[in-house]
Amino acid sequence: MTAPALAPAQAWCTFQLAGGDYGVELARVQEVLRSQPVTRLPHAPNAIAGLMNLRGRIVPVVDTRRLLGLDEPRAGVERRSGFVVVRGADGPVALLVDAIGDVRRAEDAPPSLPAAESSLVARTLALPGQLLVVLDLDRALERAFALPGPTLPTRADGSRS
Amino acid sequence: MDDSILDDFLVDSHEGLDRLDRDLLALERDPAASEPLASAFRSLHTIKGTCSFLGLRRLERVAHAGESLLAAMRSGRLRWSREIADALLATADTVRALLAAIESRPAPRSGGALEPEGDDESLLARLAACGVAVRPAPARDAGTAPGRAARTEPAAAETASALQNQHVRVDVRRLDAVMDLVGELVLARNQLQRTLAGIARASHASGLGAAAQRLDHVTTRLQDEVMRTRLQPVSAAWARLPRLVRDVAGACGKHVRLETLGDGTELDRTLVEALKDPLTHLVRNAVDHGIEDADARARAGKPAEGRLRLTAFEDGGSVRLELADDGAGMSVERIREQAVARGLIDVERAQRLSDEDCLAFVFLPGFSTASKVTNISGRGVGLDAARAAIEAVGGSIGVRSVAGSGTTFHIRLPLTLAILPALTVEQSGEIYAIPQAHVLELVRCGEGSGVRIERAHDRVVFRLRGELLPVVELGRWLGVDDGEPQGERPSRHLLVLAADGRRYGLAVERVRDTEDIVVKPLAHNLREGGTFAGATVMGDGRVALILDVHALAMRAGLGAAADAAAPGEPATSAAPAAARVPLLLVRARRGVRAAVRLNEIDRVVEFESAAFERLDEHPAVRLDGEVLAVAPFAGDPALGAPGAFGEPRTWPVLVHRERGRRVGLVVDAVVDIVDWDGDEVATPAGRAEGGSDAPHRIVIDDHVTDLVTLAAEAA
Repeated sequence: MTAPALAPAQAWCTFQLAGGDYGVELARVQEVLRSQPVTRLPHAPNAIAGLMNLRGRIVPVVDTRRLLGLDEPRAGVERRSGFVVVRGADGPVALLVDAIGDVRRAEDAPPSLPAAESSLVARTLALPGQLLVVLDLDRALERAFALPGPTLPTRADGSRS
Repeated sequence: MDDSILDDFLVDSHEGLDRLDRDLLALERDPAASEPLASAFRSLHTIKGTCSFLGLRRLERVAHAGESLLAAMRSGRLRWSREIADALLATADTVRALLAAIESRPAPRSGGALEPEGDDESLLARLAACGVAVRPAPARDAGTAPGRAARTEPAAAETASALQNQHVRVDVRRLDAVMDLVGELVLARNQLQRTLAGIARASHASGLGAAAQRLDHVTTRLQDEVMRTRLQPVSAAWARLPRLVRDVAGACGKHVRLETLGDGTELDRTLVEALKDPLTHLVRNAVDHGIEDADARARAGKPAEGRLRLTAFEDGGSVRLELADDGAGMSVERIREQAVARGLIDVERAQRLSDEDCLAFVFLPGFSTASKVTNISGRGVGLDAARAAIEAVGGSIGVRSVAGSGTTFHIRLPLTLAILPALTVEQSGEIYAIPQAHVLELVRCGEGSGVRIERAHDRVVFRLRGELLPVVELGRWLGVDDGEPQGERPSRHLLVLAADGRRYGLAVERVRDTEDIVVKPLAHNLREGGTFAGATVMGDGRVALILDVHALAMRAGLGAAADAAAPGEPATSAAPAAARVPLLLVRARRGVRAAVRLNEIDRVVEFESAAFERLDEHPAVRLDGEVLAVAPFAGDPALGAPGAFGEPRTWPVLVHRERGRRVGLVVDAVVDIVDWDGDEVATPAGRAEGGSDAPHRIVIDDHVTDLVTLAAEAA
């Protein structure tokens, strides 16, 4: 990790989701956190897992796995233990991930594959020993807050009985 | 040039202009008064002097022209006239507009012309035409202006500077930051108390308990003091009203006098801001519709000049405002007809509604009884907006009206915003907070309690003392209830909530506690259409959501229909004498019944005799990690005796909160909750004054009962 001064875009904070390696630009990452209690936010967009307390500040938590449409792990094997707190347009947002990875830097532009249109992925990088999927953070956050939530019951008693 | 000088000038000048408006209006009432004339002159003179120093030539010329006119009047060369008044008010408006232009000028302010380009010749000509040849301000005269001010008004200048030395001007953002930090401190204190409660014995021995208690005390006082720094006199919200009354009355061809009382009553600055629009609306309405024209007033035997009285006063933890006009009043019959015509209510029900409940209809959107729509008001927009604005900051509004003699609007606002007492409840493992102001009462339901949640077709209801109230089941509504479709969960509680002038029940799994919470807004993109007013951090660091009881009622389908069914329900701000007051009936001494207003009690907790400890000879119990001093209710000697808590049994303790401090009152037993219709007793005399400690006697269920006011009791 004794890399020379690099353009910030050349460094990524990586994390795991459903067995794959993902990353976001290091410059946008405020901090990473281990497990934290998350308060559910009923009626919120589907990809919003809830809210957490970041030193007195209340921060929305994005369920990154659900946002990317990745499979939910089978019951019992779930191990979601990390948060990557990123700077969003409206303040910090925590990304809920399976595990925090590492900081990866690239000295030269690594071979990469540009993303398909409208995808939440900016590009896929071939780093030594690792294929890293780099998220388009702005687009991802925008999508997370825009996804529809569950339909609200129309009456106090709902219609489930 | 230093921007801070300019900023100070802008703030000072705005204050000066407001003062100028007031002085000119005072002169209009009494042209012979010398004090307002001198004060008006000083205001313009100060603005002119600073303008010349700052090189604001355009402003300087306008201010100088106005000042010259005032000077001519001061020397007796000129007599006061309506034209002069209009011209001087126009001068104030022009100065105000120029200041606003300077203020909104894009940064950087240094360099370049500060003032916008423009031509004030017509105003200057108008001032000149008012009777004197107004000389344009010669540029060289400008530099000497401040010196002259010192010579002409030395006494006034000295008083002003002496006053200024006691005050510091602070950026509002800094105050907000301090407030945020105090909020953090309150949370840390709560957390500490919760932790200590878990290790009560150990902390007692180590002296940790005493330190925590001191910290608690200091935090409470600090919170109080910081809140006070944010207070502003309520008059800041109505500084423009005299002018508004004059203009609107002029446009309607009426004469209206505005009287204000309690200008010094203080409120959090956010609330002062929030009051401005609703007040403007109410005042405009009152002048346009409330007060009759001169002919109608003459026929009714009233003085030609209408009167509008605005009063503000502090009342316990809240501030109350009243706006009373002596106009024609609202016709309850008209409102009743309108409500029926609009299908809000059926005829039979409308006849049964009390006048006060009928009046509450005027706050519904689009409801207007104005016979003619003027360009000033009467389009049916406004009263609902005024109510929304006031409720948005946690206040309430009500109206009373007597046909023929006038209408009075009552507004009640909390003293502060950011920290509020809330009731916390638990549902499916999460904690939710509900602002205490909306909680009318707590009812236990389920087995053995006699209260049952019932289902009728697709509605959920429960009976409360013969009344049927709709119920929102929190778990279902939030979609966090994990099944059990028919079976009622054990130990459910019902909260009776008041929102938008209606009542409904909220069924929750468990009631936790009342505590002071620090309101934090939700991220913008999560706020839309939500049922949450914000979030807060609990003592254990977890986030809890704050329920928005209005939105909950609306979105849970208790909307318009329920609203129409009981429009005026516990309009807390409405006539206290006529409203039904829920009372807690207790047995003080064996056999002696007493009643307490339910809204004075935070909650009722039962303690074993063994839980009562003695601190400096006074009994106390531990509650939520705090030491709660207890006193026998109504000074009951039987409970005050040293051996009173010897016998093993449980004692109900009424927890009463006053100004952030909690006190417990021990009673023998809690009997019931009843509605007291205030008519049954002679109007209670003002409490505490003149030592009227004696409880009021009222009749409840054919029993004579003492009504005890806790505020006096706990003092």
